[in-house]
Amino acid sequence: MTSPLLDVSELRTSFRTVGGSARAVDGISFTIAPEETVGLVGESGCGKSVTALSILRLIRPPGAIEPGSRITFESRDLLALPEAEMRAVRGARIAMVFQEPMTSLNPVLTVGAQVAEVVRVHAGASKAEAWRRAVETLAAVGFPDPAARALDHPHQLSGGLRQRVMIAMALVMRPALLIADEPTTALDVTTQAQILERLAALQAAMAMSVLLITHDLGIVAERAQRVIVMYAGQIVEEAPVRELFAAPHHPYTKALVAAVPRLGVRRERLETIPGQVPSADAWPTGCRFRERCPRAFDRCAVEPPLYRIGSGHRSRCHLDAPGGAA
Amino acid sequence: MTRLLARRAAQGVVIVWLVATFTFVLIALAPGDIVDATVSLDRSSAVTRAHLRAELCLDRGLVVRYGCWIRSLATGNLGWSLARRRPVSALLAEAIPNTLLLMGLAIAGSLLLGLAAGIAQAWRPRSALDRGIGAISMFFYSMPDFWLALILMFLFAYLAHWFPVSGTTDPAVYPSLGFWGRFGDRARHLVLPAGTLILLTSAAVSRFQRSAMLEVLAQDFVRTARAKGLSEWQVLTRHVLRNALLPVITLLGLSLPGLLGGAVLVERVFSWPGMGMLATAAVTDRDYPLVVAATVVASVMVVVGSLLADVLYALVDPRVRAG
Amino acid sequence: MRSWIRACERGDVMLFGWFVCLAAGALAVWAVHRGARGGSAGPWRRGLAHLASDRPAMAALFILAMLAALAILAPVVAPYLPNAQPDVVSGNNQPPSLDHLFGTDFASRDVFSRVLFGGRISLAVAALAVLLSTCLGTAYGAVAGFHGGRLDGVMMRVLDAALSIPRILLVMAVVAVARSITVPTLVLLLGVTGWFGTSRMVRAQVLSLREQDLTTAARALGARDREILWRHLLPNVASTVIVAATLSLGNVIILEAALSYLGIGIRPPTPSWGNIIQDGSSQLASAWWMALFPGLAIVITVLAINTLGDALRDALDPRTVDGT
Repeated sequence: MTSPLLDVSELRTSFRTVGGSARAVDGISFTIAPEETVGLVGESGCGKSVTALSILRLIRPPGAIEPGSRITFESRDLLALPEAEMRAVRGARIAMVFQEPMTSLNPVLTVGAQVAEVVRVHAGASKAEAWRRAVETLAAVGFPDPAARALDHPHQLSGGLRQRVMIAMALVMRPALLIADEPTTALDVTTQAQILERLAALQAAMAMSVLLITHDLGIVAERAQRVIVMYAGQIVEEAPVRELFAAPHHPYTKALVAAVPRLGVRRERLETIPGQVPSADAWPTGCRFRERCPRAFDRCAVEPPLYRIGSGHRSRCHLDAPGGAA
Repeated sequence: MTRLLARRAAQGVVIVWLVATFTFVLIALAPGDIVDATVSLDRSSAVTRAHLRAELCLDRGLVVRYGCWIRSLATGNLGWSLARRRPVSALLAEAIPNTLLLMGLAIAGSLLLGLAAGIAQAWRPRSALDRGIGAISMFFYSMPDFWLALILMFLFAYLAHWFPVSGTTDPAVYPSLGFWGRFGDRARHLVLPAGTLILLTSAAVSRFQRSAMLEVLAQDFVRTARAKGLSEWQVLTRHVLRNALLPVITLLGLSLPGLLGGAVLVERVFSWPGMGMLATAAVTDRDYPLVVAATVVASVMVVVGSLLADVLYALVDPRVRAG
Repeated sequence: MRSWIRACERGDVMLFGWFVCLAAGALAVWAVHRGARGGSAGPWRRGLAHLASDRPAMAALFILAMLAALAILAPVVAPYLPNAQPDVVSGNNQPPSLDHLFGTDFASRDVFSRVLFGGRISLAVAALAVLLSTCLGTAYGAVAGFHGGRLDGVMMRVLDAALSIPRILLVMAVVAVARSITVPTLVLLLGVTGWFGTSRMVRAQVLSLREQDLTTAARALGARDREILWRHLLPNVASTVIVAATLSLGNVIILEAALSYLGIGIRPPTPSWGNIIQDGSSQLASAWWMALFPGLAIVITVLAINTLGDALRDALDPRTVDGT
């Protein structure tokens, strides 16, 4: 088995608040293999974005990654790197695409300049060379008439075009890993499909891994090979995609899968999960899903570890304990 | 963009017109007869009296007088100075360049200083540097302009003898100096008055710049820039600064009247022969045609300055350029 | 014959007066802390709590309360009457000493006492003027913002014109025309020239509130225009107005000082911080204390006002989340 591209181990990221501290990510461990697409799903507030930012060491005070966490990428410990070397990783080896194309681009610079900037910072290229590569990458992401329109400013472009610019910015240096944080949430459905299609093609062409963060299970079902489900700062289930949808184990995953409306299935009402996600500054003791779980029982007062069920499938639920529950 | 500027220019004309109307009301309400007041100081003949009366349309009704006033302002006839016995426009024409010189230096200097201070503060918010600069800014921001001028004069002119106390040049020495000597003499005389204005204005700019930069720093595209692998310095200078400059340009445009007001007092303290010095002397002499005309001219200067600020804004922000 | 020289006959009364002033400062700070802790959980409580935790602001409040008390109690706490000349023969232009904390001026008057009495006038004039301009500005801004449309456009053009004239020039123009100016007229003038900024802020606030649901809800319940303005919008505008008033207070104090310095504000022999500086400016090289101390008084006062104003703005801003 080849060594993983990214190996996250016991990642804990907390934020200092007025009351104390809130641990948004509480002991996450997972790996991403080369050329693999991993989906990271969960409700808002579960810590997925913080995980992504932690990998890139973009967490700023009052937040901090706790000691004891380890993030290994291409056999290097990212958390131990001096800042200058980490900067060389950001944007060149690991790149990130953000959710809001409206506000994620600098309004006063042309889009071409913003893409070219990545090349100039990392490859030390001349202005002309960087511009050429920028236009080339814009064409690759399906940006129309790139030579001319690279001179446009973000406010002159639609949301879909802006997101393509973001993707171009991320891919221009051919990173090994792309982290896409809700890349299409702010776009309409047709544009969503186009962008995801294009992303998949580029990924194959560049032999890139993708960490796809989303709350939309439909996207994950279509694009990911493996899925990690997060809840309240922890991983609650992890499985290959088909297995996750065919046979979810964790009650939360089951509820999520059941909540997705499906064509052809008659339903009187939409399924919802009662209750609310607990707040990061006061994680409940024991299993964090206990309050909302239809199958909670007395053992759930103790926090379940991630049990292994079959190959590549883990679940944080006492019902999946070896030897059965109770 | 030209459409935007044309609209602003038209608004500017309306503003100046409103100010002119206001000044007309003031004059109309003035106790006493302006011609008599002029003439009593001048002891001219009756012919001149009649001439003045006709010029100011004083013998006609109020509405006609108003028309007269607006027309004379528009043609550059700003009235007659009671105390100095010369046309106001001539007096102002001599004085305004000096004021413009002072204000131009003040704006440039305070932009530089204020920008530097604001950047230094936003670099590490809530650090000792941030708080220190903030405290100093607050201190200067709370100072009366004329008092700071006096203190600086005391320290650097009286105590230290580095700079002269008043005027634009040293009349005893200036005529005999060569080009660089004259330049140096003028520069020496400029330091204290301009320095006072720069210190006061940059306090306001730096406070504003700091909050503008912090606001921009919190925006999403800054996070994107960091994710691209740029250093904090590159993020600040290439991405944050240009965006944070926008509200500062707006601020400068809005603070022109305040700057002009500050110039009035500083000119008085340093006997700097500009518009402010002229106006303060005129007030003491109750030479109201001069003061009133200065008011109208001041508003014209502010309007023009605001237009320039708008142009500058459009140059920096492409979103405005598109229309 | 000391009685006509000293403002108060007994030194212990004077000391007591000073003690009262210090107590006034402490009282103000205590009141804020009490309000922050107190029972009712109104929206003001959170703002007060924010304020109480801001130490520079509390220091500023202490100073301001003490200054206000000093201004009121000037006759009691000043060592001399402002126009008293204790030593006409040789007491002029004396540097600061134990007898005369801030020295004496050219007419051998005690500068310290003059500064105290001057503070009385300066603060009173400023407070009244700000009161006037706040009322005018709020009314103007509220009407403009509420009605919108053409009326708003016209009102705003007038406002722009008024704002384009430097305030000091405006006052100077009026004074030049009017030839003489009494203190009440000065207050009126300062008030009338100072409402522009406040009205802009109020108008902006009212405009945004107008679009919000609270107005729609009130209208849906059948409230009339005037009712909406008074009972629903204005209380929300209150915090903006308070902040605007506080910050403009500092400007007015400086403006009044400038006018008095130029000779068109408060006239001597009535002391005002500005005209004491004017007296001192002609003796700057030889008797610097006359110009320094009143100016310092202004700086301290305005600094305290601005600090408090900034803190108030942070505290009353509804977007300020606890701890942020």
